[in-house]
Amino acid sequence: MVPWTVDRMNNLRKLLVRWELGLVVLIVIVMVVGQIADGDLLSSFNLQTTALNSVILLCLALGLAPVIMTGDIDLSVVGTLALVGVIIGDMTAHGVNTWLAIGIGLAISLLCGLINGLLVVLFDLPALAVTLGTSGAYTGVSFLILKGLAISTFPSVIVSIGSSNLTGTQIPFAVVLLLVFAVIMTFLLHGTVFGKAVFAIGGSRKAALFSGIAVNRVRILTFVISGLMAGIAGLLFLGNYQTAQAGMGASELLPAVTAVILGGVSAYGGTGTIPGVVLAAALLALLQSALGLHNFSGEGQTMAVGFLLIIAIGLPPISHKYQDWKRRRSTSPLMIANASLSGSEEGK
Amino acid sequence: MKNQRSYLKMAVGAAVMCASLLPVALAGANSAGAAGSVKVFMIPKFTGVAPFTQAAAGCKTEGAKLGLNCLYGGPTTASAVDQVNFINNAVAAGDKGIFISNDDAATANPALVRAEKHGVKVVTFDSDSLPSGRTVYVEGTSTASIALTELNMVGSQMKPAFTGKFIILSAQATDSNQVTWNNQVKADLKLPKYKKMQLAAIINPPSDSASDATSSLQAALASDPSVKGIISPTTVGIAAAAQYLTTNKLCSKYVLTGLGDPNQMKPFMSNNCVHSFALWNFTQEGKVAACAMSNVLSGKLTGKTGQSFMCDGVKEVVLPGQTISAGNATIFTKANVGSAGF
Repeated sequence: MVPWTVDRMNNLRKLLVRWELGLVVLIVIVMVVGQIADGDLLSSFNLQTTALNSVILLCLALGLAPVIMTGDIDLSVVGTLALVGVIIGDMTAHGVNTWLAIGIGLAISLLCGLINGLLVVLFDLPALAVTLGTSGAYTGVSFLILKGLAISTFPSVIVSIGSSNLTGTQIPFAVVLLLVFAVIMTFLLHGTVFGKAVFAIGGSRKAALFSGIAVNRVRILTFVISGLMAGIAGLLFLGNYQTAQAGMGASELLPAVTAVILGGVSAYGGTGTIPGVVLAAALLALLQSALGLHNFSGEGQTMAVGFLLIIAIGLPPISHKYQDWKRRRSTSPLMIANASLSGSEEGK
Repeated sequence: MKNQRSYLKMAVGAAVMCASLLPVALAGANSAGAAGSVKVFMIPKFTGVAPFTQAAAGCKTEGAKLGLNCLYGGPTTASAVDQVNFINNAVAAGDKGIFISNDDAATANPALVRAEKHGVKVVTFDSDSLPSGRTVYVEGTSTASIALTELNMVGSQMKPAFTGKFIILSAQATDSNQVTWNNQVKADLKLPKYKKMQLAAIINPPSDSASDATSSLQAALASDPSVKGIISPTTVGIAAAAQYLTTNKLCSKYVLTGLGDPNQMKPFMSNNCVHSFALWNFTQEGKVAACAMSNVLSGKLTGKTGQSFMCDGVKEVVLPGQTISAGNATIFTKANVGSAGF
């Protein structure tokens, strides 16, 4: 692997600004082609339900993004989602005040994130293993609470948050809420010292430590944010699907990770933007809707998402190789000679 | 700048490349129906298993006679959330009716209600939604007959007959048809015939996968060595259990029966690990679902108890709970497993 020089970092950052442009182009193409093919893609009903259905995914992705930006991963988000959903559902079913139940549920999501963060950072354990374990634990607790049963009636407040429209419009309230969260996260990651620290840690944990960044605190905080967003996703899930059960939301993990990576967040940490993640979530939702409208099978849709993910992961390294190659060609003959001698070594 | 531009070119190039694949893919996937036919959409619990493929085939053949173009599609894993996407797509695409076998009764229900508000008719099959989410429910065979068939199959093979402990290896705890059948088994155990039989546990693996079924079964058998019988009312569960018993040479120790797919169960019948299991005809269930949909769309069928309609020459009657039973379960033994037509 080529060491990351400052020059390369800057280059990459500039390149990633273009990443969002690529996503916008893709979204427009999917919209145009999809609309021509079926004519129903951009109908208000379809846009509304598609947006509503990607709310959970986007909520999880917004929380996951900072964790992945620091070079960690949080697989427990769907476990947290289920635990919070089940706890809020169970409490309201037992007559607890709705807002109190929501408050307790979200506090528990913070705690779930904190547990992840402490285990990963203080004990220096791999995030992949820790969050895989806590995911099982959180899902297990929610299973114990409901004992395999499901709750399907909720106070109207929760249903409204998850599935009602802004008064007088066709725009789901939850979508607006998520866009507000996206703006807050954008500010947090791209306009504050905390955000700078997140990218610095993702770029090089050691370098961040030596430059005086409170690496541990920032990493723990990213897990807490991830936990909270998963908790909010749990609340929105209750409102949208009106059901609480132990396994709820489990199928949303891979799409959420996909949205983060497709949004331009490097799987190795250190780069990415929140607008990119939002655009990627929109692209995934529109693509699935377009394929679904055309009676594309579930397998076909899953393949399309997998294909996009591989492109998203593969494009940056390929483009680097391409640039290296071009740079060598455009420099002096001596450099070309050097490059051709060391090229095969360097590429590894 | 130069680098940026070249990257931009690449990014846009890649974008155009994948997007240009889209119309090709779209053109290939569209299975347009005969002109003038009404589009209806069938959503299974998940795709890629024989029973739902057969139900879709039944819907297609019977639907064609009734002017319905039966489209089929669903999630690749048992996910009610993913089913909602398919419901929404069907509504947006202007399909007139939706068939669905629910992964759980509640999750997709708000989406089904929304679909109904848009004038789309819903017929559930195999696994019901909440009553507000559909007009009628077509069950493969009646719950009463499934529960009794299961108890008779396991009880008659126990030694002494109808005496001892058994477990039910079910599916995810939220599968509404499984819950209904298991509750009926519990209720039937009070009948004098089954008085000496004891249900030790209902096992709900965390997912509807063969590996989860196997590990859950293993744990259950280890925790209670006095268990003699296993009922697995899922095609995934019974096949996984038969494989587990065969591999561990436990076939003579346990009586295994339940609801299975004849093709999948053939090897376990020939090695004498399983002596009987039951299943109904999913093709028939798909046919009855198509007939029900046709009558719901024309307004003749509203779900009132006692209403009836003809399907492929057979009279179908609406039972209490807006339920239509598609037929009786067939019990498969070594003698007839080879000739199963489905």
